Amino acid sequence: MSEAGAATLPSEAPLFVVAETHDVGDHHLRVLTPAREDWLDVLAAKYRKLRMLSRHPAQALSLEGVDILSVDEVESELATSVIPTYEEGNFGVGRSDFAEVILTVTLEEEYGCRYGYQSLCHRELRQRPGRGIDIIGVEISTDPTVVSLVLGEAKTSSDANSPPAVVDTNSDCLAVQHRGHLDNIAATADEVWAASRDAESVEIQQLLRIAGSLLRKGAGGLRIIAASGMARPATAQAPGDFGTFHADPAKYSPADVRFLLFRLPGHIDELTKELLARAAADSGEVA
Amino acid sequence: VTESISDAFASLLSSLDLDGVAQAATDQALIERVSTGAASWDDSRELVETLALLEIEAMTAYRSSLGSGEAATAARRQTEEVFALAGGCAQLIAEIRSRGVAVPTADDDALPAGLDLPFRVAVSALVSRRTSDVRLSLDSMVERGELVAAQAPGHEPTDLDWEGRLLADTFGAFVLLVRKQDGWLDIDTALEALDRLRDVQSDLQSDYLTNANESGTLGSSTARLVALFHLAQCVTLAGRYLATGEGSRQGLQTRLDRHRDNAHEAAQTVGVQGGATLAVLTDLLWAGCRELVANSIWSHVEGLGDQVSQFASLLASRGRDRPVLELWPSQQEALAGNVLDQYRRAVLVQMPTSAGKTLLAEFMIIQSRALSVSSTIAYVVPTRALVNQVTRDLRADLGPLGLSVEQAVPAYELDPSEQAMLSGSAGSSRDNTGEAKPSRAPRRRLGS
Repeated sequence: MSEAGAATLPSEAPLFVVAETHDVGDHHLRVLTPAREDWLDVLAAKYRKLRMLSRHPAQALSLEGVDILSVDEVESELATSVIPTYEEGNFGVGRSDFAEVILTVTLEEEYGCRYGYQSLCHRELRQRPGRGIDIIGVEISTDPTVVSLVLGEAKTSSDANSPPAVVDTNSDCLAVQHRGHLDNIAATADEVWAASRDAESVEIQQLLRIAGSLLRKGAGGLRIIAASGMARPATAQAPGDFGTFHADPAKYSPADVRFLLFRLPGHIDELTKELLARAAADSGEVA
Repeated sequence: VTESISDAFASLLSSLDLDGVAQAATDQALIERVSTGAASWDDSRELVETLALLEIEAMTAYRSSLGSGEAATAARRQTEEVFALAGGCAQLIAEIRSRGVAVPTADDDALPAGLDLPFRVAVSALVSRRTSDVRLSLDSMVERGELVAAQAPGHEPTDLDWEGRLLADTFGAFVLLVRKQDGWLDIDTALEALDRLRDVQSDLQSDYLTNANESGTLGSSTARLVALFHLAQCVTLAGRYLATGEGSRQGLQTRLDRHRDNAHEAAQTVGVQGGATLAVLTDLLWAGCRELVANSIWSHVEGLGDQVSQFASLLASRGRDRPVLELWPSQQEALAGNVLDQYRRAVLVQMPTSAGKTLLAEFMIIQSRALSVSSTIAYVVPTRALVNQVTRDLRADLGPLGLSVEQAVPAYELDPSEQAMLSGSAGSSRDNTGEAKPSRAPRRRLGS
């Protein structure tokens, strides 16, 4: 097992490119398609990395200057530990995870989003309060007086209808989920704070905490982004797939809508299985 | 992206209007609810979030204050103000908790139960120069025995794994070093607890690493240990300095900085499973240890000669009822303002009563005698009662250094009202506020 696959991310070339733009003012509604032949390989590597519990090689850590404790055993572990390490059964990927990893990668590549809680890499922590929102992240824009709070939900759908039921119709559709986050600000702020505990760095943790407090207080300086990611087979994708997010984006006020629709070649189930196989093969696990 | 986030962070923090967000720190209605036992869970949640935000702002200012120049001075002022608010929040939260109201934690119980708030109060007090104000609070918040895991060799706790033990004893020892209850007892307890870690390391560490390996978290668990080793080393360095004064302040703080950097790197490696929280705790502990060293009496007598150092050792000695292990902020400020500058012909020190003028005077006496062994120093005070008190204090403090202290008082003493009557000025002396002001009695000269 090597870290080479994960280390190639983020790749120089974006994984997805915008094929269609249906923006309404500040609301982004876009159709994206894979930009490179190896998109599924790169996605698998990204998925592997998200499932890692560690972000940096432990071998480089220093114990210099520590004399009150014996460092031999820990130094030995550092020298022999292979990063990344995986937990058994890491790759139990489902269709929702498939959409989530695509949305995660794209929000990071296209918008510079940084994350706190991601259900993908905290599957073992599902009981935490943050479980209600797939992705909680923050973005810094060129305006230093504003921090953006990203509340992300991801779906897949092969539904022949347009928009598919996961957009506006189902009990847990994107519209219901986002409106729920926005209608219950106190609970959402709680989730943002909970997400900050699992942030990847101190800066992100602090930004999340600031964003959570601004949200709770209804204070200025905060932009809320209702981000949706939906993976669709190219054969099913249709112009009306954005549903109310395009027809009436004001329905999601005070958030700005960011709906990214991923038009993918082939069947979603097959792609999901392939993602799992490639991620597991690269890690040494048996798919 | 990480670099751009870091660069933008300071700018964002200064641009956002966070005053309203952190208003709970000074919300009188909320404070009233806490003091009357009427605080709710929502109140405590608001305070917990406010505390976390204030710590963000305070640590950002603290890092800026470590430079030089006017910007650093302003940052230091801001650091102290914000940490004072943070400490107030932590004390309010502790008050709520003491009344049995459930209190959420911002960091998911990263520290062992009962240690989180004392730790935050201790750091805030140190950096905002309010240590003496919060000692009583720290006393009431936690017993000495609760602050470190093991009471004595052979009485090891059984409910803590190696990581829990490192956390408990490192952060608990730090609180003890700040509190200094019963003088040396807290310091000794802290250093003993840290020393005992090595004794239990082999047993606890093997089990911890074995469990981590079986659960597939060996990498992050090992990194966590690396971070905690560096933090334990930080507290040990600060504690040893308090106990012995060995080494230079600058050199020690450089070592603390290096351990902080290494702990931070390890915390980053821990990553999304609590690495950020560990990094925040690292920064707070590092700042606290730096301030412990800076406040210590030893750091203020560096470079002032053997006799001043000898005097400091005497003040801090275990034989004293109330050893002087650190100087008060007013005294630190005076020393930093070159009150002992031997090239000045005259120095005026103006401080409120009980702000520590006598100790400063003693330092000046010691230094004057060191520079001129045959000199006679006059210590002038305005009342007979003070003559007796100062003589007693000076004899106790300076006698062991071979200095003779004698007192001289006049045969009679006028009180201020008598003086005013005799001079015919009674009722006529008024300051510009229009209030009556007694005339001063003549000063008397004391020989030494």
